[in-house]
Amino acid sequence: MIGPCPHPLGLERVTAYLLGELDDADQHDLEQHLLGCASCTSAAEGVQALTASLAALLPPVISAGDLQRLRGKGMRILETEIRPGDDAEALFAADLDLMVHRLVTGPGDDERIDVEILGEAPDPLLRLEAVPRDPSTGAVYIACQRHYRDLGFPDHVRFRLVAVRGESRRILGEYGVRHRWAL
Amino acid sequence: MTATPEDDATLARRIVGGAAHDAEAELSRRFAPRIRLYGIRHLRSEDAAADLVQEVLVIVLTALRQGRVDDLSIVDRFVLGTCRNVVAGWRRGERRRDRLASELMVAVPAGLASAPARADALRLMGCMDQLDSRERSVLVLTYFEERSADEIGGSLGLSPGNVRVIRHRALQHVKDCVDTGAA
Repeated sequence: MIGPCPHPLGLERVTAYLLGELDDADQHDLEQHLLGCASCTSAAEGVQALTASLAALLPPVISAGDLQRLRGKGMRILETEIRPGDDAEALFAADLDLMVHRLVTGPGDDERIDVEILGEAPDPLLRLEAVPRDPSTGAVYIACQRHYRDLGFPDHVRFRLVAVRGESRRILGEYGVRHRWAL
Repeated sequence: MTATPEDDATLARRIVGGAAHDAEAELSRRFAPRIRLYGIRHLRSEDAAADLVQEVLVIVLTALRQGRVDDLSIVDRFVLGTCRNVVAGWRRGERRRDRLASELMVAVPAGLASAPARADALRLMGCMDQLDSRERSVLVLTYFEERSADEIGGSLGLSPGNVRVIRHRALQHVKDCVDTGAA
């Protein structure tokens, strides 16, 4: 069919289809509709492009498993170990896909770990709550991405790790990184 | 006055006999995104989906030229059936496009299977920041970590149905935000 669809597919159903959540009969009906409907195909393509973008969008803090998976996909990653109190230099070279700052801290049984990103001012530029932590070493992996330089972050940033248990907040360490960017 | 576009069945009828190259090109242009979506869902790879588009179009155009499609009014169902057969054949290890294309001199226009443009990463990050932490977690776990609704529900203490509701709401917010540039 060309032109507007009298029975457009909803976002929820298209999403479920693309994730493989529909049962066989529902999937069959939906595929039959899509193959005959340019309008719904176009809408579904938009949803697929959006979810593909989400799949490619790395969170700023990743787990050890994520890091392993990204290496497995062939991404060129520079991993830098940073200890509490360090002020490290990091060059995002032109041939890199990703820099990972491994913030070293010991394992702990805290309820959650937050990361605060600070510039020169004492107040955080950004606070990330309940970030993943390497279960064996306790390390936190910051996935530093090339497009971050366009987000307005200063080149010199500090990452503050905060352990949270109930109402109590305890600073585990501050980690400075001076970024340089090669285009 | 703008001419009314021919429907799929009319284009298919014109292809029978093999002389209507404009009809073949138009039918290919219409069906390519529909076949590509089917391929994304079943093959989980944009490259494989692009290959599927080429192979299915070669088979469909060849069958139309040779008058082997019984009911031209539902050519979309023939295309869907071909998609299924090709994917099933690939799973059995069969590949035959190159041989078919060279024997039957069917040329599928290049560039039909390209993926639509992805959302701008910076805008998408801004839109993700507008979500509450649970919505953001559900999207990251679904699309970046490729976890099922059952698995996410287990991690976050939610039912799979709740996960789907949160996912739908979050995706709708992100889609609206990306579409309107509200980040």
